[in-house]
Amino acid sequence: MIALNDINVSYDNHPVLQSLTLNLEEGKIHGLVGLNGSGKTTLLNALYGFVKPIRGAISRNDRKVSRKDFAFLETQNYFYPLITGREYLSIFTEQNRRFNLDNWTNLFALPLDELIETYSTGMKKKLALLAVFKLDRDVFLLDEPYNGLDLESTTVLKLILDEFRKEGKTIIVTSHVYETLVSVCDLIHHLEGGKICGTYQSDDFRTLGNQITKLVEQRSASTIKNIFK
Amino acid sequence: MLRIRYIQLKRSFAGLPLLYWVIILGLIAYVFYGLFIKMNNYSFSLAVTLITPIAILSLHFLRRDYRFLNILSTQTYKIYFQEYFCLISPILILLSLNQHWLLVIILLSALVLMITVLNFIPFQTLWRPISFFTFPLLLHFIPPFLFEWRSGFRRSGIQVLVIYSLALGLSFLPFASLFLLALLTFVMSGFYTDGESLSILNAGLLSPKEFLQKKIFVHCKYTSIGLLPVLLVYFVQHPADWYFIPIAWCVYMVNIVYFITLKYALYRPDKKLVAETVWTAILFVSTLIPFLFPMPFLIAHRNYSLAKINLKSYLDDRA
Repeated sequence: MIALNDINVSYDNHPVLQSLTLNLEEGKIHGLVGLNGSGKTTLLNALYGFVKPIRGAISRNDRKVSRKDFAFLETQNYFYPLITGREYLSIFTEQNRRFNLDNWTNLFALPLDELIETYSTGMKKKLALLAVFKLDRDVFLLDEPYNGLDLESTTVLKLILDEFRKEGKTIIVTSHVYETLVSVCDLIHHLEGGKICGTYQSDDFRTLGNQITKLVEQRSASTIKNIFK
Repeated sequence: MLRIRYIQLKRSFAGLPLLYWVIILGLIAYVFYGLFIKMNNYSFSLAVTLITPIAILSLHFLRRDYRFLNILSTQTYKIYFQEYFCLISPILILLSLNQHWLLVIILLSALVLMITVLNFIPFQTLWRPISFFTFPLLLHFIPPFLFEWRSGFRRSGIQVLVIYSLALGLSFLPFASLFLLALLTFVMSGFYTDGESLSILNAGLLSPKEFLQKKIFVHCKYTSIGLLPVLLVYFVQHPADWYFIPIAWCVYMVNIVYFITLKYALYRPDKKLVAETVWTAILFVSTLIPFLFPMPFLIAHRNYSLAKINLKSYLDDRA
């Protein structure tokens, strides 16, 4: 169990996560959903240790977490100028014994010997995902993994995540496209204003979807009317 | 465009401590005065006049903004002229102060001629976001974890190869090889200007101290391996001057440590190093001026401590 207890994170005195408490059961795929600025990325950054909570604690099976527990896919994928995909992957030396680069390359159709600058957005995302899978840590933190992926790759990624779940990995995934979470997650946690508003199981995903749609409509309806007046 | 360059320049100098401002201004004044005295000699001024267009030409070939400039303006030659005129203006001032009017006219004519010719070359279509030279054989010898080198060779491998070949070829001349290898390490400063992503930084799961020590050790080791053939050839040619070789080796290693510690003292994920050229210039001038000789070592030592503090925010301190 990964336990976040009373987590508070602020950027320049602006609170982003406020007394956030969340228990993440291991061996499951957890979705994080929320509108822009709700704190999804900050939560993942706090888990990985890129940001330090001003209050609260994060533990895994009653011990302090460390980066050895996590492999993190960031929203924005930056690589390094003028290196090839193969060179990028070889920086991540902590090999998953079963990681067969040729098989993965065939699956993702990546031109690994080309410079990364020549890759499309989707290819870059797939390369970053490969690095995460190569690290083979217990917990995958995937921030917007579907961004830039085409329909085929989106389906492939869902199948891959499903396989990792069967292996007992814990996956925490965010997405702006709610449907991508619905089709793969065991649980979805709704984050708003830096707090967890609720945790939903697959039976209640539709209810959560409706709630979010209503929330967006309430927030934006008057502004849209003003624009088109 | 000049305004953008001014903002870029201002941004690169932002955050530089006052002491460094004083040192930089002092060095600029020193170099300017030294050149002014030297350029009193007509032959020296002629050499400077001939080298300047070549330097500008190499700079032009290294540019990566041809497409951007072509989108910005239909008269890119005007932009090139403004920028290159600003760059050569110190030389023009020095030539004028020494009343070498003919050389002023030659330099200006060379600039105009160069830009006129360059205007007919469609760089914007020739240029690709891929390096022109990939050096597959050379890259084969560079291990993947030296990603800065692999990237650097694709960017400035030609300069490295030319200087290295010259250092080998001119080994019969006293000190030429040693000087050229020092120059090579300055070219290598460009290898350490890009901040890697946090994923790359954290790939080894090391503490700041372990990370820096490993990085310095590995890069010094491979630099030594790379420079060893030239140093051996130099030793064979000048066995009596053997004691200069370890001194020169120490200078090269200090240079590499200087670049690495500087990179991580100022490191920001995914960002280019701020004021890199200024720091390299300080190192270059310090190497040339005897009383400033210990300065790179002292700066590297200070930057090592700063790098350890800076990396604490990016490497895991919870483990």
